[in-house]
Amino acid sequence: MVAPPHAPHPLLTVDDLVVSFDGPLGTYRALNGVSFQVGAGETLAILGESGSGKSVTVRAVMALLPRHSATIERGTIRYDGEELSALPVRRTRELSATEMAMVFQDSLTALNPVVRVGQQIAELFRVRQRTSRREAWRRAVAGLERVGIPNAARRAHDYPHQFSGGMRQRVVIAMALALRPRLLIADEPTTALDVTVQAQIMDLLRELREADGMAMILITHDLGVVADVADRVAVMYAGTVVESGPLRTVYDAPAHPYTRGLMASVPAPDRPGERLTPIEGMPPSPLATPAGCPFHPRCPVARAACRTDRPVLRVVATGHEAACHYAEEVMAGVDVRGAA
Amino acid sequence: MSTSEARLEVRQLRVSYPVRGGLLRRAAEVHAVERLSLTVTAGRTLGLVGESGCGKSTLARAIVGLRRPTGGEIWYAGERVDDADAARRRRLTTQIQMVYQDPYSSLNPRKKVSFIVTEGWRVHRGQVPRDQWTDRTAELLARVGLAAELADRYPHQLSGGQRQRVGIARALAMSPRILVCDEPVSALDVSVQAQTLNLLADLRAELGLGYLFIAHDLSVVRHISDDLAVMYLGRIVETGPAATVYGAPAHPYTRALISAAPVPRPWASPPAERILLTGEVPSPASPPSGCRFRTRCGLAQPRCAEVEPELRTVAGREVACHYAESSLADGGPPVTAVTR
Ligand SMILES: Nc1ncnc2c1ncn2[C@@H]1O[C@H](COP(=O)(O)OP(=O)(O)OP(=O)(O)O)[C@@H](O)[C@H]1O
Ligand code: SF4
Ligand SMILES: [Mg+2]
Repeated sequence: MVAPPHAPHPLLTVDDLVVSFDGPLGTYRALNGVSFQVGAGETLAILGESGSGKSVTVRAVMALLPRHSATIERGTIRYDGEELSALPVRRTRELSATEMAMVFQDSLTALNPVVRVGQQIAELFRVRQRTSRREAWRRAVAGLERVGIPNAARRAHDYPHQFSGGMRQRVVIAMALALRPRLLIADEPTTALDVTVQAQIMDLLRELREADGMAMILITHDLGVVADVADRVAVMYAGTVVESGPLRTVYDAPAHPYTRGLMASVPAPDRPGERLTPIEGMPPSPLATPAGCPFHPRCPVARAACRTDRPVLRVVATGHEAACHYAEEVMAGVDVRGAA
Repeated sequence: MSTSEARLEVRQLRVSYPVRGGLLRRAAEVHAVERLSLTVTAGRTLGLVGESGCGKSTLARAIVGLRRPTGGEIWYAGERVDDADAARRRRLTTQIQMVYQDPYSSLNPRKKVSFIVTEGWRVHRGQVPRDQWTDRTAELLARVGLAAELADRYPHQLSGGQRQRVGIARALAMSPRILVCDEPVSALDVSVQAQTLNLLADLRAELGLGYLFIAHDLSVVRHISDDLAVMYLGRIVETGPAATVYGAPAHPYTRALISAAPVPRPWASPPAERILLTGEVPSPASPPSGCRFRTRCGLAQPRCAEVEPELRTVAGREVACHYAESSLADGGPPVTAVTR
């Protein structure tokens, strides 16, 4: 895959990643050739429906896949020129502790319930930067202040359950940003929160990203949240990236019928009550991914070739890639339903 | 019964939960729903929005008789429901059915779809004669867009969208006039959510159903609702025609809620006002004095802490705010309101 010209030195490059799981029903592929890049300081949103492989992808990057059941069958993950998949897991973990950090949807599971939050953050400075106890605590409090926790010096002594959901997510963000990572991965960071609190957290993430010049991978299923923060978007379907490109290009001139269907499924704020045009059917089970294009059973453009030949991700315009045999027609806005 | 009689009226409803604790360990009460009034009529949709914990689900459960109100009245088709004797109540409430948020936990995992759909007929004998069950079940499944074979499946063998359709079929089995839908599409992916919203719109048109549609996703509520009610800490703070409330919200909370909701294509609409609320919803166990919203409100004045504002008519909707006129005019003094 050729690096798009606007990102000459991608910070993270994932190429043709294939991950399988051993489950009770046999082995199945959760990722079937995932490719994408994130440039330094850039925010990439990964969009996709439940089970499309978003979390598995970023867990593979962070070396957080369950060791006994998951296998990386193929593909490469490069961080700043270093191939992570070739490194021992320990080195990846080290990198992922300092260079990359992750924020999960559920803030409760990310924190140790029996350790004061200040202590949990201070621990990072003590272990990774070998600072004194006192200095580590001071930095932890400063970190909590930075994410907008009121009375941080006092609240640092509290336990996770003493914080509200939104405040707890701030604590998790403070922890993730403690060592000033260059890449922050946020997996549905606001899904569990109310809209007004979600807006606060997204604003905070945007601010911190700009202040630190940090790159970000944001996973979400909310097209509106993506539109608010992302520079580029990667759309996943059935374990692969089916389209990626600049935010507005992907939203306004999608090149993949799935992306197009996704956009048409969302109620438009200015046309209440108008009949929606959902994608027919359901995403395939990972145990029975269709041959050819994985989207073909639901695709309004599908033709004979789609049932047998698997389309690969290819450049359809500068910085814009799609995995569809007929991407040019889709982009040109040919009435996909009529074309079937 | 004529359509005009199929009218659900909630008057000054209060629903309380006992809580233990406090200084003297005395039993206290939390009013999850407080002096709340609303009307749902056949063929129309009242959308109810609010953040988690504001009492939406408690209200829904009280309406369908799963929770006993501690004050106020519920009327259906000209008869009082909440103080009816068991038999009369059962007869009346078959016409008000509920669709639940979580299609995973609301269906009995050990029963087949055919059993789940016919469950109400087992309880309310005589509703549908036994020899018609098979035919009627097939009809119901077809009506909600499920293949007849699915009658023999168990819930775990269905997708989330299919499960939600089973939940809708189960509610329709009782030939209701009113459906209380508590977050019916929140657990569904965008494309499946669009299918379900279309189905609900079709059923409303074909069967003349009235919906109380509860959700936290404003774009979804806007899409399906004729009227809108906004709830905060157990009370309705604004209600009226959806286009009026959404188009020119008068309550500061409604304004914040609308401005916080991410829009899929922000560049396609004129730049919207952006209000970032500080803090989170206070505990319903100790609501603020006076106006319940005042602790997060940018317009709050001393009077707001002293006098609780009641709903009153302002510019074609009802709103509970002392300063609704100035809020509507220009947002009033922007104290904590941040406009970007
Ligand atoms: N630990 C695991 N063991 C076995 N299978 C797994 C495991 N984690 C994920 N999978 C499977 O891998 C596929 C991709 O899952 P993944 O969690 O990446 O989806 P996702 O896109 O993050 O979905 P969601 O939006 O629901 O979070 C799914 O079929 C899932 O069931
Ligand atoms: S390759 Fe064929 S089936 Fe796949 S998205 Fe394109 S047109 Fe549809
Ligand atoms: Mg996930």
